[in-house]
Amino acid sequence: MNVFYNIFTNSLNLGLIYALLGIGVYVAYRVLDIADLGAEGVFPLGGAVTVLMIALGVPPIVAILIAFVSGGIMGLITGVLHTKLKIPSLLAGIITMVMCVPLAQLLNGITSSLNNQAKIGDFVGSITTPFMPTVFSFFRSFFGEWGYIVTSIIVIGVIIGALYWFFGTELGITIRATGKNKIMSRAQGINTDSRVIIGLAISNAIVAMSGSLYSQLMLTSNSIFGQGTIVIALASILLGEAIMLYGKPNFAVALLSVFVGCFSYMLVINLAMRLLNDNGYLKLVQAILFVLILCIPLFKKGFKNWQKKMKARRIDASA
Amino acid sequence: MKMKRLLLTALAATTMIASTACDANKVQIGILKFVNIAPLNDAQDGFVAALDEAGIDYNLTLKDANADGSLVTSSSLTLIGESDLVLGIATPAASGLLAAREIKGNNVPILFTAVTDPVYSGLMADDDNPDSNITGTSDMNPVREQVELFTKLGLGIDKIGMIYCSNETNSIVQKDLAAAAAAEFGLEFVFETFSETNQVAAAMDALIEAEIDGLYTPTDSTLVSAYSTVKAKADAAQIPIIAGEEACLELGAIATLSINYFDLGKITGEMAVEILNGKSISELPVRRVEDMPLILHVDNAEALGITFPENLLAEADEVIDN
Repeated sequence: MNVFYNIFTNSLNLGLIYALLGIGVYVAYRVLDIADLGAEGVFPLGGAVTVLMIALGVPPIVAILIAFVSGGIMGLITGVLHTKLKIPSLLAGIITMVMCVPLAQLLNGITSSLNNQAKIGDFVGSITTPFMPTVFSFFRSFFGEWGYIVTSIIVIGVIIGALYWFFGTELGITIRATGKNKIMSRAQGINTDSRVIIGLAISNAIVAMSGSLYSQLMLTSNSIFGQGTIVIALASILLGEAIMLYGKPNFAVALLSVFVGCFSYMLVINLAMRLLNDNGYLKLVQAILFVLILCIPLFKKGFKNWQKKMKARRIDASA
Repeated sequence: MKMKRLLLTALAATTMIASTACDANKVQIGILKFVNIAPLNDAQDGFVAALDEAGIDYNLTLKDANADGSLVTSSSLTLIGESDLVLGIATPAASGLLAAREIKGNNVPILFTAVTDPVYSGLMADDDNPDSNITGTSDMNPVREQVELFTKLGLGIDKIGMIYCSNETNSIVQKDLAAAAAAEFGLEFVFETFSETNQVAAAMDALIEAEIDGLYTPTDSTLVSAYSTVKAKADAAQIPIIAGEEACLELGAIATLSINYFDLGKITGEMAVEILNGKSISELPVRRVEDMPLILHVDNAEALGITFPENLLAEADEVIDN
């Protein structure tokens, strides 16, 4: 049973951290209805900021907050590019993403210079810091491996709670309205540009926070570890919706569904990894899985129609 | 009916998963490879060959991270949880395993290979005294000896240039080493960097304007992808190239001292055997490949009007001459 226990804890560990990423992307993708690819760059940037801050002696929790702010700034840039400079949102996100990678490498270079390896100004792709204190250290000393999970659950809980509160305030509601119908919102006197910018800043700030937790989990900052994150995030959102959302869900439940989706996604990857001894086919399995996830609503609809048909036939037969 | 079939499939999958983790008597060895490329595959083959030669009864689990961060993490966690010894091939794989060991809270010995500089990348504090149950082999190319080759060509070279991609950490390490080596052999040293391959031509022009007599190219995968530009510019200025790796000889360099990744993996495998036989990692400092063959490319040299001195040809382990 050791195998299944490991599959479960491994999926939970990663699932929780990537769920935070998923929640960040959810704010842009579902609340604002903007496809923001910036996450791929903001995620490693958040990690690089965190590793540098911790190396400078900042407490890990404060480092997470600084990463949060740095992500917010990147989101602000995407927002300004999109709303003020009229750059299409996809392209604005890509510009931010491209910008983040060298920034993360520069920060890695500064971290590396602290122990006299690189020089300030060098671009360093990845840096490992095996002995740094992390936000997980506290609970780890009590619960071991489960300490990581407990810490992540607390962080996610706080974020979901904060978002639930924020999107209930006047500002939050106007952001949601902007995402639902921009023209109507503007007609109601809402400054939609500023709402898009604030929304993107929040989204990217949460993504950077996820990157921050990830780099503390993996004790490393690597500028290429953002690759593929947007796929994980979107898959988590869609899988979560397919699994547990019916009708009009409560906002907090919708955010929770992202976690459920992310956990399921990681579970499937971990299971697939056991079935295939070599990971070579894993991306293929991942792609097939992605298609299946996207088809779930279709299956659901088909099943309902089939049920209706059967019912009608039964009524016909009894008549 | 549908439910039954689903259950059966689930059961079959469960047994398959469970069956991958039995054989408790054998040594469980886990390998995490960062990405599927030739040098890393060679290192893996060498590692396995050393285990086979020593007659170790082992069970191998291989994970390929596909150069993907989330896969590095989940593969590392999987391997660390269920192995007696793990090998990380390339730096990100090794660092993933190191973090996974922290998370799992156990003390599985970790070996690494194909890591250029374990101290620079933070895997360990001192490569001569491994104190945190991690050690392995470094694939640092012999930059000093490669730079020394310029003095052995008999061309009276006294100013060398180097070009590399500023995003590659390994190249920065090699630049510092090359500069130190050049100073040691009394050569003047200039370097140019680029961040994207479309800047290579301009960087080469700058080097040629600085009147270099020889060009050194490090092991830099971005540079290798733009090697034809480097070669064209160097040829036009009649500048010989000495490369950091064997692959560049086919692309126009005239000489190199190369690293054989199979041998590197084999050395790592021998370290694994020592650990499995009870030796402590603290007694196993980081190792490097001892003999690196000198390879000369006569055709490329002749195209530039260069003939290798007799003593260099005699020293060479391999001479490419069509």
